[in-house]
Amino acid sequence: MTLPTTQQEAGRSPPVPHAERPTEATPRLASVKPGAAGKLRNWLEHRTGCRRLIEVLLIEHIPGGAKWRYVWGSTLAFVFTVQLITGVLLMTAYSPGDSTAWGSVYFIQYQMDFGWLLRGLHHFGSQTMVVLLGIHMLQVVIAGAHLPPREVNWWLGLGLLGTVLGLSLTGYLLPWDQKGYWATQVATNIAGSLPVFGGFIQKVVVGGPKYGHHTLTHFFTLHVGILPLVTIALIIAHLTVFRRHGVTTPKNVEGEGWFWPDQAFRDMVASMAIFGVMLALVLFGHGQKMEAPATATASAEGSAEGPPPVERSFYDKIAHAGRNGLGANLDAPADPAKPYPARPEWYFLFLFQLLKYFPGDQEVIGTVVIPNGALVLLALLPLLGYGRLRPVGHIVGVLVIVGVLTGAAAMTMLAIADDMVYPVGRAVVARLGRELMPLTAFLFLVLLGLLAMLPRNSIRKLVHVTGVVVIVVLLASAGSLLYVAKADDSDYWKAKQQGKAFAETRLPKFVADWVDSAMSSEEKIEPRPESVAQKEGPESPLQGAAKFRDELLKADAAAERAIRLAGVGIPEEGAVYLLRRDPMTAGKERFNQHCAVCHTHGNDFDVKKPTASDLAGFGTEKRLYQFLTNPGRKENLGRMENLATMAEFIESNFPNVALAPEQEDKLAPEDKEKLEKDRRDLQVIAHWLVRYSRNTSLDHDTDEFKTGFKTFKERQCNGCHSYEGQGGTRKNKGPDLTRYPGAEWTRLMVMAPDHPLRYGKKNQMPAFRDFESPGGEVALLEFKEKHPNTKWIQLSDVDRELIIRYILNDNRVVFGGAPISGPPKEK
Amino acid sequence: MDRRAFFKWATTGLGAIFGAILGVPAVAYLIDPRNRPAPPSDFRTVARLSELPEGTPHQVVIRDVRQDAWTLHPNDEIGRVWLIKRDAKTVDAFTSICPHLGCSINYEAKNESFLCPCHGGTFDPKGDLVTKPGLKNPAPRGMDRLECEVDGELVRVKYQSFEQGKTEKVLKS
Repeated sequence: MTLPTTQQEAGRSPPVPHAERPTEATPRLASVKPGAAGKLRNWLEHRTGCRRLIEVLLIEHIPGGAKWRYVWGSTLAFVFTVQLITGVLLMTAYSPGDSTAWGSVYFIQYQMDFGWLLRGLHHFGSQTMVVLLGIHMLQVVIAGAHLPPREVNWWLGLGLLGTVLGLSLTGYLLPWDQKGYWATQVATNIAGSLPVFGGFIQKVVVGGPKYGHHTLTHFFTLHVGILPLVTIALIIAHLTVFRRHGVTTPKNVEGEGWFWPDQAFRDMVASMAIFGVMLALVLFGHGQKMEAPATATASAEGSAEGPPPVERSFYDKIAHAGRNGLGANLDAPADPAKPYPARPEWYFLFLFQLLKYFPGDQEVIGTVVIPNGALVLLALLPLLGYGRLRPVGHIVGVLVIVGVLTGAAAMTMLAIADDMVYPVGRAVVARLGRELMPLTAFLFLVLLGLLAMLPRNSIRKLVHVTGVVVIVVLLASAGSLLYVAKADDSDYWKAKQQGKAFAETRLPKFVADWVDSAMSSEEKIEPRPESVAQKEGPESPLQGAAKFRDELLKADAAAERAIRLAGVGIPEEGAVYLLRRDPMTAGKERFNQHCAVCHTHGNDFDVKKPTASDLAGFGTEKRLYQFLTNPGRKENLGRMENLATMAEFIESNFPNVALAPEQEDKLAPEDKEKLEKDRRDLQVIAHWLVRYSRNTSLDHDTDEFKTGFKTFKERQCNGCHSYEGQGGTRKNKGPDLTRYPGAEWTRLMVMAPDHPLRYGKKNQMPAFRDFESPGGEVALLEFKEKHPNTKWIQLSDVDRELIIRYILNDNRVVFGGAPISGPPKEK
Repeated sequence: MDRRAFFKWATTGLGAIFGAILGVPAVAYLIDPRNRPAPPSDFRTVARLSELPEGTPHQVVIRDVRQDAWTLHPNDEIGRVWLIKRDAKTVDAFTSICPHLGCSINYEAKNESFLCPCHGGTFDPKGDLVTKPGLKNPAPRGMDRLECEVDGELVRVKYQSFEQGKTEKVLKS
């Protein structure tokens, strides 16, 4: 065993396998020192030979010396290690299952200490791996390292490309959020569209005809079991085969080096730089912020605020920074009944774009033929390297990889541009894809060509440095322009949503002008959001993108809402019920369906012929006071002619309370004084009623209660209205006000509006009852006997509670089960 | 320091920094359950006094809010309680969880004793440990008594869990 005699031998295609040439000059790990620790190490070495193993791993001869450009493979191994560590940690808290997956990911992201950080690293780690794979492949073909005798290693690398993409695809579904759910549907449907066995394969992978428990358990097994094992096996094989042939060096290489510590240092620095980028992405934050959880019922004042914010400790702020939006995004829980504007993760966008060019019958070309054709082409590349073909194989390899990467980058840009609504930004991104990407690729190829031809001298060095700077500047500008255009696009659409003009683009003026001059007048027509009712004018070609953006905004709002609601707890039926049983969204829909025929709710619904009161702000002190000062107004009792008693009573007993301020000034001083007292009393009554309907502990001994009740009686409200069994003795009486305007009061009003404690014979509202649940037929029988003349409308218990909570601005999710309940009220 | 030594130190140092950046949060994440204390307990109605037989143990279910990580069960069966009506106004309550290793204790009517089916922990109708020659009783202490109040007709119990395997009754935190 001797040192390589010539540099030629140390170069490519060594006649003796590279790793089998350790020499006397091979550096060894530091010899074992005496002392207790040394003895222990000796003992261990004697029994296990671990030193030898570490030496085999670390002491690798690198002909030509360590190089920065050799770091890419190691950085991939590094990021994969990060993925393994964070993945195992996430697995300790993740629960695959239709009803638990989203909840467990929510818990990791928002509740567990540093869950946001570990999940964020795992999320961006997967994207980093895809990028590094591209760079590694490029580096390999430039070095010609795919050519014989390294064909097998190239194929092993392609296998790794496959498993990494497989890991990305399977991991994307696991949070079971809308984004992953709908994006993965596309992938499995593509599998289903394959000829002959497609449907069968799809059914087996998905675990049934539709997505469900087994989709998650299948994807989970693939993601945490099978694919990582295959990847590890392939990495071991890849490294072993790599060691056999060593790094690929050019001819006449000078210098000498060893993996430890020369190359290891470079690998470590590069890995840390990449880790820094991953951390930056996590800290930049892509998640939904978690507002104060929707714990409390609406307060007596009618605001839906939770308890006052608690001062958070420094540790708490860092450990739960996911609540400030740091880390990866989590969309609303997957709901097959809710549409979602699905797009794949960015690194699959080029495939998504490819589909657009092959409509209808030709689709299979875009989904299967071209992607697989490209893979076959990649696999065939090394075969062009035999014998005298070698230089051709080298050039073709570079051309193919640069071509594939450029094509993918360009199509990714075009896919992004297609979803943009800001005409100038969109045109910029499209031109980046269509022009700047191919230009950069061309310059890159020219640079490679020059470097291959020029002799090693200072001119070559100058060309090398200049070329690299130009390429980096071009790529950085493309990235920055893309970022700015996307940010502009987002602001533009926000402004449009509010009906405002978009202030000012942040794109450099010359770029905006350059693009603007090339745009046709049709391309400049601005799209309109759904919410802006402005129908005139020609339709913009971007209206499709506008629709997409509108849906995306809705989806974001749903995600934010779901995360806020989850803060209190998720129903055991699954996270999807957070939104299906959310009073503020689902309750609003039910109100529209059942109540907004007669009742208005501010301007929220389009009620053709309102015949009953407006319910916006119902149950709040402000609204009740407004009601008491002017019951005859349309939104109060004005729409119901038979309920004029209240208005007459207020007019006679509280004259002037409804006066406008300018008319007030004309009043005599004693009238003014009386007006002030009247208003104060009404305020006291409003406060008392609202407070004591909402409060769980009805403490009648407090001064607040006593004052309120006294005023209620003094101002003769109790003539018509009973309260806890007292009063309400007048013939023409009004509804009982015990616990008005709380949920209990409202429930009787909804279920039995003709009850003597509500509007009795004066009632015009139908009773909303659930006669379809078990026992409903008995309830219906009794109802018909007792209320022969009352109209009734079917309304399930859950829907009724949703509506009541919506009316009362009570944010708590309606939980299922028996009895129907919400999370416990705040004490 | 020569170049090689610097490389060795720098590589090891960077590795250590990386290990700390990932390791510290990882440990904090793994011991996160420390942030989840035992739920506060309050008196819950479990039975009507008139429905309880006098002198004979009677098992009832106790329901309460149960928060399990992300899931909230607003009204869940959280455990079982043995009630023994002593007289018209007094009721004793014991948790059905065995103080030995946490199995669920049964009542054997024919022997008039509580018996844990797992390892044979035996308790008399007062909940005390049965000690007699020839009987190997693995339970370290008598059955855990729960606070119980009779509010008119309603029997209310404060359900709590205690640590297993100790001679002292220690509340789980």
